[in-house]
Amino acid sequence: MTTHTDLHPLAQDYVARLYDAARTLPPDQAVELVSDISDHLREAIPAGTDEAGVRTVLDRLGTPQELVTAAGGGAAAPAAVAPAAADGLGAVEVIALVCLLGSEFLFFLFPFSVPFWIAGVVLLLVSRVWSAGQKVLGAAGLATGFLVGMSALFVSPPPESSICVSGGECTVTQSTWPDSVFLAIRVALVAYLLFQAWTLWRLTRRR
Amino acid sequence: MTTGDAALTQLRRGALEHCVLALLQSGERYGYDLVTELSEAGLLASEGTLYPLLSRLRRDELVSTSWQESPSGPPRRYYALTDAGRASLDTFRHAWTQFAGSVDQLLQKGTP
Repeated sequence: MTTHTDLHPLAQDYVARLYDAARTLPPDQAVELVSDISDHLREAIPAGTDEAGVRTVLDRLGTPQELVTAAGGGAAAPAAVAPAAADGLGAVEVIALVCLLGSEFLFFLFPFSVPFWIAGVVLLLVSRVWSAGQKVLGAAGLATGFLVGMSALFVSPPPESSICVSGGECTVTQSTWPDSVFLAIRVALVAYLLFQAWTLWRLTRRR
Repeated sequence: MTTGDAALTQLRRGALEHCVLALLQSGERYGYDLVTELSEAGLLASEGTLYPLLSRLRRDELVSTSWQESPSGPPRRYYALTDAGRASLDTFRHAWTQFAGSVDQLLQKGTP
């Protein structure tokens, strides 16, 4: 076997694609196949062969995937795509979403919401359909829903207070926050719900 | 693809291995040489698929390989028939003769 840098650029490209497709073969078989095909191309494409001649030789060889299949290898999954993503959501993913959303909307029913939230987070993390990025998004966008709901129980407005002015007159202030704080909370809540809707869309859409 | 084409593909696939062994009866050959002859005989749809087949024949010890210098360019991998390969070819030749005879007879019966 020799290196294939002495090959025509089109043949070099073919060998590179073959090398990539042969990842599904046992290493020694992959090396042998790439070596045999490189040697074949060196014989079949003498120096000075024009591009049409090179393309004819490559067409007659078959595609890299055909050769790998003939050698007993399968199709290589693209590295960036989760294997089952094209098939849509499985039971694990559907249950994870139901658990997370259920624990958020019924957060005040602790016997229900706490186990559902835990189950939802676990299923989100073990899913084989969602990518690592989608899991982080799901954790940030959906798993926080239950916690946000819980926080409403513990965060309350400042207690009543009375202000007395000189002269003995006292004014009791209402038990509430200033309007500006209320507005900020409402805006934050709407933004959070929009973020949740977007997260849900990202986790459920088909690629 | 018509059913005739599909049948031919299946036949080619089944017979190819023993056609390679048959070509090696007369002496050792290198890969490109085998590909050229089988392709000209119309037995190879994709020329590259012969190499995985040669690799499997070697692993099954039906052929042996050796590297030899080439008069032009880098060394070539030569394939030679082993005793097991020769026995396999003899068995196939016998089976093929019977098979082809039976099919011929049936095809003749069907003609008016």
